[in-house]
Amino acid sequence: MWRLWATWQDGGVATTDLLHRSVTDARVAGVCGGIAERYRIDPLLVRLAAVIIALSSGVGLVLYGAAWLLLPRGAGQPALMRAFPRVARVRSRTWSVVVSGAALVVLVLVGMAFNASLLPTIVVLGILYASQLRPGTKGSPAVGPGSVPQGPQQYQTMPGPMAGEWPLLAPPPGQLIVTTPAGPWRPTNRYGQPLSAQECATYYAVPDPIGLYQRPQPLAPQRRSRVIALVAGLAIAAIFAMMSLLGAFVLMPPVTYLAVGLVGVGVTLIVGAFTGRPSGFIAIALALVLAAGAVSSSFQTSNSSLGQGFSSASAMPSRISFYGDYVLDLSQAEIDETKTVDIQIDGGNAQVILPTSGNYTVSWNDSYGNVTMPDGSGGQGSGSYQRILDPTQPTLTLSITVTRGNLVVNQ
Amino acid sequence: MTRRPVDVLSLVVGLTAVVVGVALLWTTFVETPTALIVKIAVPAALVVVGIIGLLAARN
Repeated sequence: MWRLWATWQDGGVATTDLLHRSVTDARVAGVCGGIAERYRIDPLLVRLAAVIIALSSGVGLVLYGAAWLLLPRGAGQPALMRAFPRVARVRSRTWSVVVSGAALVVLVLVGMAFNASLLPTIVVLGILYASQLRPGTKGSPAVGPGSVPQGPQQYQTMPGPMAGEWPLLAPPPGQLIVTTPAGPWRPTNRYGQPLSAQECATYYAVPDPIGLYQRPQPLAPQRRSRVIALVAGLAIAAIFAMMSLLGAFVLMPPVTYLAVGLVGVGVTLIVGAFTGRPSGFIAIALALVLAAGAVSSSFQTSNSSLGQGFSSASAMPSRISFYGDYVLDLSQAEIDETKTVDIQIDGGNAQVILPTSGNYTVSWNDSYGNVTMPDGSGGQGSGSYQRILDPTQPTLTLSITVTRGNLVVNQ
Repeated sequence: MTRRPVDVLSLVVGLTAVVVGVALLWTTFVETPTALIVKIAVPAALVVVGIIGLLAARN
């Protein structure tokens, strides 16, 4: 998009190699049609992806609107520039920041409102399409009558002194004409010009100087690994879609998607070790490990904190769950009923100030941090602490679990 | 009868990815492993993956 922008700013002429809004294939504004023309993708797939992105996270609407305003229709000017010519002075990087910021804001707002998002599924399907299915990628079927033959076995050989050893082409002089299943094919040099008689003679003198065609590699392993990659990618996408639907009912942290993706990619690689390595999966596995590490470490550096105080045991909820530093002040609390409160603190330190009167029992579990109790006991792992002044009176039971952080209990 | 060659790099990276993924899922949904378990399990898992890779490379 920005390359096109620069071309337009420079007074250049837009071509189909640059992003634009389609003139001939437009349902709304021609954005999807233009993308399909630019990247030679089926427009239906682009429209489907746009609708899913728009419905699942809202980012699609922002991107579509930005493309509508900033991409020219055909070789014309962008709509925004037509309406406000002075805007053309704004640099493309500035627009990148503005559009990215708007998309991020929408993503966060929609993500806060809805847990279910199909964005991870779309990302997987996009990677799958770009790496395996897009025309021109490794292993994808040749398209069109002008496609290059895949190997010398498709050439029509002719009898001659070297027949059987070299794949001889049609006889010189003149132009080479090769008969392929898709029809006659006229080989050209690197500049797109038909091979001359001299080039043909050179070819016949040393038809295969580096042994390129001596032992054609069998295509079976490539096809097998491609099938494995396709099946694995679709399976991971299906699992992500189910997780997204579950996300409407159960909280799915982002690291869950990374973990499931890692397991899926890992299993695919293990299978591929015996049948044929699926291309690109090692890089995807490394990227997922790095991303998972970054997400996990970000959880441990939360800056959120919360302090809560209660005046009585009956006013306390039965379960308190917080992420970050947490302080629970019960110094003024009256234990008016027997109650058990489950407290779970993750990604931060916890401090609990116990009531000055009444009976209470504290059981704690801290996996990584240190625990300090009023009598000096504590340490790591789990334990309990209690004060029973009058067994006939109600007792408050606190069950405290600190996942990553220290716990201090005092009076 | 010759054995089919094994792509050791894919095998080792795949095993490591599965181990890391399962550990992340366990940490998220079951419980956070204690420091003692992490100290023992992580090196042990790496050693096991390495031994499997060596055995596969011998073939």
